[in-house]
Amino acid sequence: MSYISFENVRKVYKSGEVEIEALHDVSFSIEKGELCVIVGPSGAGKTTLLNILGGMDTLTDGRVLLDGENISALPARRLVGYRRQEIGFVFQFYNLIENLTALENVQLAAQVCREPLDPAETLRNVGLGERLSNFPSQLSGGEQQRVAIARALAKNPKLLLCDEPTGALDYETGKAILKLLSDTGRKHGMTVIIITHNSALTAMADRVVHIKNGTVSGMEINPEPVPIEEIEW
Amino acid sequence: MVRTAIRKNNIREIFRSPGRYFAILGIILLGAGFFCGLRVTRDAIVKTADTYFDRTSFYDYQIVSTLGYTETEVEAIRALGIAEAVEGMYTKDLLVALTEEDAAVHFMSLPSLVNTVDLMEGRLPEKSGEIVIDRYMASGFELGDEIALSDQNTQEDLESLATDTFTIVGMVNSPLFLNYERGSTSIGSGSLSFFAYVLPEDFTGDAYSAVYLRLGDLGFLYSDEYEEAADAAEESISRIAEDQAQQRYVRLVQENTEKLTDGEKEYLLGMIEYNKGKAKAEKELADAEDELRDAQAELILGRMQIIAGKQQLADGKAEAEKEFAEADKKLSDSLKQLRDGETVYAQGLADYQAGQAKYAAGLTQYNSSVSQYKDVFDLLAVYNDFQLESNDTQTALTALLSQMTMLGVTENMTLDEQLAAIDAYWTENEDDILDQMEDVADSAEALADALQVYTGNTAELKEFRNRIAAIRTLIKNKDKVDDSVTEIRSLISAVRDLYSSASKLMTSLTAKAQSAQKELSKAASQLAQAKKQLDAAKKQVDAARVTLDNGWTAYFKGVDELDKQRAAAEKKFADAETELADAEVQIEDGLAEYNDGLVKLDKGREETGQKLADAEQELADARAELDDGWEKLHDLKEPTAYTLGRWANIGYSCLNNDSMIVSNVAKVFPFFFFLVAALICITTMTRMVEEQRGQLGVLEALGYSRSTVMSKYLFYAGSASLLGCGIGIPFLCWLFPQLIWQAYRIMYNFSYTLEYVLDWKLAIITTVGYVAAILFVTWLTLAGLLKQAPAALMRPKAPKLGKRVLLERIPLIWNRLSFMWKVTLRNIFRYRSRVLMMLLGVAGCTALMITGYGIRDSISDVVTYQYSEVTLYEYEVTFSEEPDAEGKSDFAKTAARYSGDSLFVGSFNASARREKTEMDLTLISTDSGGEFSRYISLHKGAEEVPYPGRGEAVINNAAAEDLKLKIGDPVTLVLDEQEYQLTVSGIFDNYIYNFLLISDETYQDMTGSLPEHKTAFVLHRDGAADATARLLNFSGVLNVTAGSVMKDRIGGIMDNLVYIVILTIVCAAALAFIVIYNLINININERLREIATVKVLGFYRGEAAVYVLRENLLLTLLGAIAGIPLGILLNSFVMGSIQVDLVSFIPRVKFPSFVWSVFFTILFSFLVYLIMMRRLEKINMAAALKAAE
Repeated sequence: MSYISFENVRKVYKSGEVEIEALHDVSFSIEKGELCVIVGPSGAGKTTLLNILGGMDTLTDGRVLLDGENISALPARRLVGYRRQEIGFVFQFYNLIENLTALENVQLAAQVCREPLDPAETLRNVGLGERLSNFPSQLSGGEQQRVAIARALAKNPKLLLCDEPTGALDYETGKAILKLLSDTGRKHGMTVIIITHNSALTAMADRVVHIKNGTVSGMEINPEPVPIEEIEW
Repeated sequence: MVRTAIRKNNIREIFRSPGRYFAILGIILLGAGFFCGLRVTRDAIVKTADTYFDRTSFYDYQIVSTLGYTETEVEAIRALGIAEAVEGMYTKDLLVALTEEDAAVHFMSLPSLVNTVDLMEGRLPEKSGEIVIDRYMASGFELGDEIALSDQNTQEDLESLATDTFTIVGMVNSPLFLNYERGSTSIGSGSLSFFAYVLPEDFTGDAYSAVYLRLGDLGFLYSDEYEEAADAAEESISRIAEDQAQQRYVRLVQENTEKLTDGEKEYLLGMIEYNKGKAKAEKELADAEDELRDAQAELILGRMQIIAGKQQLADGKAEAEKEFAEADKKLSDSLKQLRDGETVYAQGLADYQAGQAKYAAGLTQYNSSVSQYKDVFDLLAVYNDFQLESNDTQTALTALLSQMTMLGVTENMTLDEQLAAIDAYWTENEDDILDQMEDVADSAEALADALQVYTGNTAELKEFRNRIAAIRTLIKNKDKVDDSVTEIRSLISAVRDLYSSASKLMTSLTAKAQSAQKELSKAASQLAQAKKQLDAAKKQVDAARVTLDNGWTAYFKGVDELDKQRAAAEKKFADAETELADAEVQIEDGLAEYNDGLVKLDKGREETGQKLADAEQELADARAELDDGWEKLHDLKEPTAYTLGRWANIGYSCLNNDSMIVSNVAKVFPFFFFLVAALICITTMTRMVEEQRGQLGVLEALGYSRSTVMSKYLFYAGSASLLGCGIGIPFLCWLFPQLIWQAYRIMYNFSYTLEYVLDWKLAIITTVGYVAAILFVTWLTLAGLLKQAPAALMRPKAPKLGKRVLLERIPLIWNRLSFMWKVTLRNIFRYRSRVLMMLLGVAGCTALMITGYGIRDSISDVVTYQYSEVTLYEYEVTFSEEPDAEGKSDFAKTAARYSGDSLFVGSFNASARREKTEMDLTLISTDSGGEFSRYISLHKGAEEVPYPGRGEAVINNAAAEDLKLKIGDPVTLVLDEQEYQLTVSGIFDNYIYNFLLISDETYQDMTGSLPEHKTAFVLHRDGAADATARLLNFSGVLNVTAGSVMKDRIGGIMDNLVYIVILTIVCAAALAFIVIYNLINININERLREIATVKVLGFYRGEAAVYVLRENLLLTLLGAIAGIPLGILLNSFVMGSIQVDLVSFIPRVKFPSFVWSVFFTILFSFLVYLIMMRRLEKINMAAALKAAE
């Protein structure tokens, strides 16, 4: 059985009288330990998908299974717990707490989960051993994203969800981040899902899911993913 | 070009964040409304009162004279034309009987020109006996009920009204009694329960108790205009009052003199009548007495008669008894006798019967004997017959013979004649003799037969027969015989022979028979004797029987008779008794009548005596009255007239004071509301603008002018504040007065609602103030922001640098802190301005609440404190003149008896001045400085303040504060327009009224004479009853004010104030709520991203809330605590500015008030957080995180 599976997922946003169908009939599955890239043009529904998977949003129809558990049916508090323990997020705009140092930002995440990794260690692992007591405003964009990653990783999640992690970074930095993501993922056996609109990145993935107009337009499996250093765009 | 898009944006902004918009609107609504509402309250109250007074033609001046004024004087005053309306009013305090106890009621005559009543229910009286009562203070009455004057009223009092029962036809309010106080009186308990109006015709007196003048519409209530106009008229009115009083005096004297003279005349007439009447009555009584005496005599006689009769009856009865007894005895004797007789008779009878039996036996024997001898005796019988016959015949024959012989010898006859006579004679009798001879023969034959039987045929017998036959032959051969004599003789011899034969025959038999006969005759004679005896016995027995029977008959007869007699006797006695009884009854009746007669006589006597006594009394009374009247007239003093303005009316002056309180509070307090409200709104707008910097940039980049860009925010803020003012001011200008008035209505009942007063000037100023303030600041912020280039605006604001907190440098503490605490502290120190705003806002609200409580706390204590610690006397008694030493001593005794010790002091209206400040106060002068502290305790804090010495003055703290006096300072006393310099030797705590105390010595030094002690303070013993009435009754006493009355009055004011305070607290609380809400709202809005991140990280709902709200909580708490000193300060400031004529306050806040204020602040915070948490929930994490700042 697949680790993650979407089954006929449908998501409708209702705003007054207006109904917007963000996803309709999305079905795909992802195996454990895979690096999966979800691509699609803007507005295709990628973020919605990620939100549902991350327990940040509910679906209208269908169901989502994670490791056999139907997370779409979980009550709110269980969803939070689910998010707390199982999931690590990385966002496009880092979203660090400005008032906390890098170390404290990671500690923030570490303190809420059951088996965290050592925050300082995690930061060192992402190469920020020297920057532990710096505030986000004192860090560059890449460093900030790395802190964000460290924060996600420190939770020791099963699933790492990254929404356009390199969107706000330059080319080089972006690549470095991606490398970090994939390496860490493989090292720890985490399932990593990266959402992007950059189709070049699909090469590095084990599995690629194409989303278009709120539905899966295609899915591929890369038997031999290309290391990120070798991808040019 | 019509810019619809941007306009839409402007308007939508409001709906996008309604919370913020309405928060601003709400805060301004409260702030502006509170400000204006409080300020207009007094105006509304005064206006309402003014309208009420106009409607009821409330008086301007009241004139009172010691002699009163009559309609004549009133007309005269009216004629002078100085007043719009003049009217006299009768008043009388009377006791009215209620279900439980009597109530003292102030009766007034129903006015129609001045001080008219306000009819609330029912109708006004139209005829005598109808009454309208005090709607407010008279409870438990309904229309149609009857009110009766109590019989506890003095006769004189009862006479002052025409009737003593009234029917309630309506309920009214009176402008003379604006508040709940009805005043004190000298009857009953000393305080009046309620007032009542009756028609003037129901008052019997002719002198009005007061005359009221209404000069016209002199000005608005309590206004300076009014005061001036009223003052201007005072002098002339005063003069008129005196003048009219004097005229009345003259008239009165005249009237009374006339009346008295008439009275004397009547008295004389009365005297004469009395004497006449007395004589008549006495005679009548004497006559009646005589009558009774006679009656009595008769009765006695009758009685005696009855007694005699009774005695007679008794005697008769006794005798009768005796007789009956005797008769009884006799009868019983007879009975006994009879019984004995019966016994005897029985015995006799038995004997007789025995005898009879014996006789019978004897007879039987005899008979048998006889039958033995029967034959013999038959024979004898026949023999007897024969004998008889023979005898007879013999006799007859003999006789004949003799005759014939005689004849034969008859002389003158010849023998032949003789023989012929003898033959004739014989022939005549021959037949007879022959018959006889036949008979003899028969009987002899019978005898012979019988003998034959007996003896047989004996020779003798035959012989006999032969004789018989001989006879017969003779007979036969009668004719054969010629000689009659021979015949006869033959016959005689035949018969004789027969006889002798028979005799012979019979001899033995005869002898036997004779012996038997003897025997038998013996037996027979025995028997006969026995029979005789028996017969005699029978006769006896029979006789005895008869006797006995007679006896029984007689006895029963006797018994019957006796019974009859007895019955008759008894009847007689009964009749006699009945008669006697009747006679007795008659006597009894007669006696009763007599007694009645006695009673009637007594009664008549009594009545007469009473009537005479009454008449005497009347005459004596009349005399006394007349004497009294003459004396009174003699004593009638010239009158004193008093002119009193409106200030003398309690309700009037109280309303002024009471309403001043509100306006005083309103002077200061609302400013702070204004400040807090303004501050918050400014913050909100500033933050809003900051938040939307991106939008600003965009619009600018699009090419819209700065003013257009600003317009949205200015519109937002401007419309919110305008609406807030526009709604708040009119609404709260209506609401606050109404609410506050509801509290006042406990004391004042003249109007249900207040007139709506909207001070346009104030409203406009307030609105302009608020709107301008907000617009200005908004504009300022916008201007500052828009200085930057659009691009810069569009870029997200660089987040504030994270900084190290000072505390971090103290690892000791820092490392101990939990992670979350570090976050919180950092946040606090990072956003200083935000924090400051929060602190200020919360502190401000807490301070407002504390002040609200503080006002209440300061006030509530004043009354208790004053009356338990300072004003120790209970009654303040005002005299019309200072009593002499004796009077004072009497008063002291009276006071001591009913209440407690007393002290006479001089009390004057004066004022004190220092430099430019002058204030009115009460000057008190006494020579008993040592005693004084028992009545008004002089102390400051715990220290005692001694009574001032010569040239010194002691003043109360409030006055000292106002005049800025310290101990040792000089102070100017202004008394009767003269000024005197004194030195302040002490300042004492006193919160009600203002006092300056000096000694009599000082007074004398000042004015040259000792002060008049027209006032007395009286202490009140624990447990003593209300002595107001008694003190009022003391001669010369003008007025008595009881401390309890003052306490209630002031307490009432304080209660009203509390209401205001509650209102304030509620508003402050509302403000606090809105403020906190707003600030936190802003806070959250600014940290959406952070919150979303944290939620995404997996913070539970509570954790996320805490993360955000912890600092808010902390700030709220800190703010609340910071608000405490602020509140105390504010409270002192506000209390200091609340000036009420009577009372000054000790600003203080009680501990619980602090607790409550902080508590409420925290409570509101929690409420807000609860609301906020829901908002946090709803944050769309993904959206928040995705958006570029």
